Amino acid sequence: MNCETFESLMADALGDELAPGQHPAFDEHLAACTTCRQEFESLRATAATMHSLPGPQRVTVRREGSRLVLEERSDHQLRLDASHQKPSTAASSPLKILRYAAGLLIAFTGGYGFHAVIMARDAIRTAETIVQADKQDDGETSLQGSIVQAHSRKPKRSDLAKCLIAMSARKR
Amino acid sequence: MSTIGKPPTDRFEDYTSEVYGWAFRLLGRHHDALDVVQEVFLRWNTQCRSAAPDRPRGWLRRVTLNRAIDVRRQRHGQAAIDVTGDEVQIRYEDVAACLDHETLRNDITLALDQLSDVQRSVLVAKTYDEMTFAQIAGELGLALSTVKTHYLRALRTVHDRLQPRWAKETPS
Ligand SMILES: [Zn+2]
Repeated sequence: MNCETFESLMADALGDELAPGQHPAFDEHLAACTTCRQEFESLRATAATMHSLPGPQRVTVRREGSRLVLEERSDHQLRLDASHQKPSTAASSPLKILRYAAGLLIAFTGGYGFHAVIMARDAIRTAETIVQADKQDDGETSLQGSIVQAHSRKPKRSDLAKCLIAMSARKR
Repeated sequence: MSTIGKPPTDRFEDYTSEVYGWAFRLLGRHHDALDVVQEVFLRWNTQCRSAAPDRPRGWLRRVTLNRAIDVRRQRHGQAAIDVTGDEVQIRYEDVAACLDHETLRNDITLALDQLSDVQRSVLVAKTYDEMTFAQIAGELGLALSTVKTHYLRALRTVHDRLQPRWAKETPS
């Protein structure tokens, strides 16, 4: 197989539609040709990255007169789930969060401008209000504690809010 | 529930879940996706008053993606965590994953924004609707080879747009 033929089969290969008989020659060229391999791998990684984006929860649709009503199905209720958490996750969370906060910082400074910052500030102000309100109930807890708590099955709003504030503080 | 393989109808209800799904994929928030569904529903009604689209699903995918990209642009880099009124909602397993998905959603939406309508439709149909190239060709009224060409070009554009993200994640 030459590069041109390889190129003509690349969409099928990426789309998982390569005919079984085409695999051996395709794989052989893939292994032998660096240029084609690099191109193929970069597109495959792109397709995989796009695919990794979570889709919606199931919604139910019903008609009420002239209106359509969409409801999230209760068995797919969006919630924090402790079963996803390995014991080591809590310890690594602050690092993870800082890493994502750094990502956000780049996103925020990467040209989204003033508007984004103002929107984020509104969110932070709301979060700070929540933390203040909950503090009156049960005293102050550490950020570390809040992050661990945010991973639990029933996180308190103040814990999530505190994480948000911490992330925004790193961002500034 | 997928409508692939079913004969096209001119009932919006038959496509509502998919319209919601396309919008959610780019926006990541239930209420934003719902807003898009309502707007697309209105445009659909207006369109159907003159003539129902020949290829309803293709029409809806195109209009929905365009509208969702607009909404995403208006939203800029708002906080990933939904803070509305005094409610804090968190949508994924943990705070970090939520932020990661949000920045990825943002990157992918901005990449889709660089594509032509037809490239965008082909890429979304293949990646998220999991249609075959032949199904896409039938739905959009294009030649099979054209669909594959659009798919590869679209993937390349998205790859170039996501490149800085990967460069950032690779440890130096
Ligand atoms: Zn080659």
